Amino acid sequence: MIGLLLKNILGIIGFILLQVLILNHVSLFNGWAQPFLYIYPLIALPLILPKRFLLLIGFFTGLAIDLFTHTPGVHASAAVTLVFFRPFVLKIIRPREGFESYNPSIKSMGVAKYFTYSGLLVLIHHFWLFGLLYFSTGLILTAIGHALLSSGFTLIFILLVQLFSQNKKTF
Amino acid sequence: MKNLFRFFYQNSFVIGFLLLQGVSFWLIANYTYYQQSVLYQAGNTVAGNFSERKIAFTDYLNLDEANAELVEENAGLKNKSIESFSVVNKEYVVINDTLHKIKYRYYAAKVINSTFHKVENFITINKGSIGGLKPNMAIINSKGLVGITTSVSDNFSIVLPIIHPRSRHSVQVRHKLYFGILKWNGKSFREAQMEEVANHAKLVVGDTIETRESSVFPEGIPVGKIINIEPIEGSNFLDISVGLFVDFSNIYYVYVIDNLMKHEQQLIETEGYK
Repeated sequence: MIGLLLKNILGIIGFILLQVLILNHVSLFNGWAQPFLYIYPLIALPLILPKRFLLLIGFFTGLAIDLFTHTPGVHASAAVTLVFFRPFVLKIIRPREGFESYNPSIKSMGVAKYFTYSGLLVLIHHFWLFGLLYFSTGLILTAIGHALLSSGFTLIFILLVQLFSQNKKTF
Repeated sequence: MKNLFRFFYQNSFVIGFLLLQGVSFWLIANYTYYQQSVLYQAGNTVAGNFSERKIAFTDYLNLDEANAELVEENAGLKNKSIESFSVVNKEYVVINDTLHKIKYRYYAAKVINSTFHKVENFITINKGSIGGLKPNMAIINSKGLVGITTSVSDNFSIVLPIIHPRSRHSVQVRHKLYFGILKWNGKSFREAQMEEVANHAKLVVGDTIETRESSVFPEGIPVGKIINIEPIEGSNFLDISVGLFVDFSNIYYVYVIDNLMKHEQQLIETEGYK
């Protein structure tokens, strides 16, 4: 259990670095679509980890991103929301006999289910994130546009990571 | 009591969620740039060091553009230097100038982290209090006004750029001297808005906007060009869009301006307005 946890935490740190060093500087359509791949490990965390514990992991992951983007609390709040909704989304798509593997992935869930699972979580996270970012400006349509375009962008990255890590057990 | 504990234990997921959201919202609500808390300083230093390493690499990729900009500016400065002027009348060479006192001092700094496609944008530069920087100093680059410093740690400073909803700058129209306030509505990083200009002002599209002299800014630093003018219905003011000269997606070297007479000006202003 501890080994599994350490492995996952290392993975999270890796994705935070990737986000901060590279992906924070990547954008499409004049800044309308930005990828937030740091949420990938939160989506991919094994199902056997206790839910309450995931909340803390989500919070600190978000806080780490906040430190670099000067938006204290915004990413933390969005990541906690994502982790909170994770069990509910899993419940929706869970087959009657349960999942074979303990890790959410294309291999264990199938393409359609994994797409629904990660897509829903990405949408929840992005809408919450841009809602908070644009809350004070009142630009609702701008926020929705950003959230939708960025969701597509992030999802493409998530599916790419899945494609390249098909054979490994985690990440 | 036992039931209470059981209730908390059974609902710990929801309670934990609400608690962490509470902490997050507290952070969002309490965040100010003037915050000098230990945590923020530490974060500033860590993130700054980190960004500096990263920029050491990306510097190479941007050398061309940065060099071109610097060469252009050097040429401009050479035009103004004393060697560029021939002496017309030797009798009037000034040896010890006591009429002019240095008012502004310029520091060069490098941008090591910046954002431009967000609502609340920031720039981190690689000079801090050790390099002589203080909060509320003007930041410009070779093209025009960038912003002001807000938070300063030992080796790094955070700049509040024009493209931030909380940025406010006193500006004027070049040669026409109508005053206004420059704000940003969060839509495009190439455009800002000039407000509080009365609608009798005779302005045309293409007029240059520059800074008005204040305790922070020297007069006449270019800001942008007017690209659209519309009267606001039901008021006596104009809605003016300003195309910014500084391209915030492409910013490497900046100058920090220290007003050496700032203290004196602020002193007499607070004394005088009492």
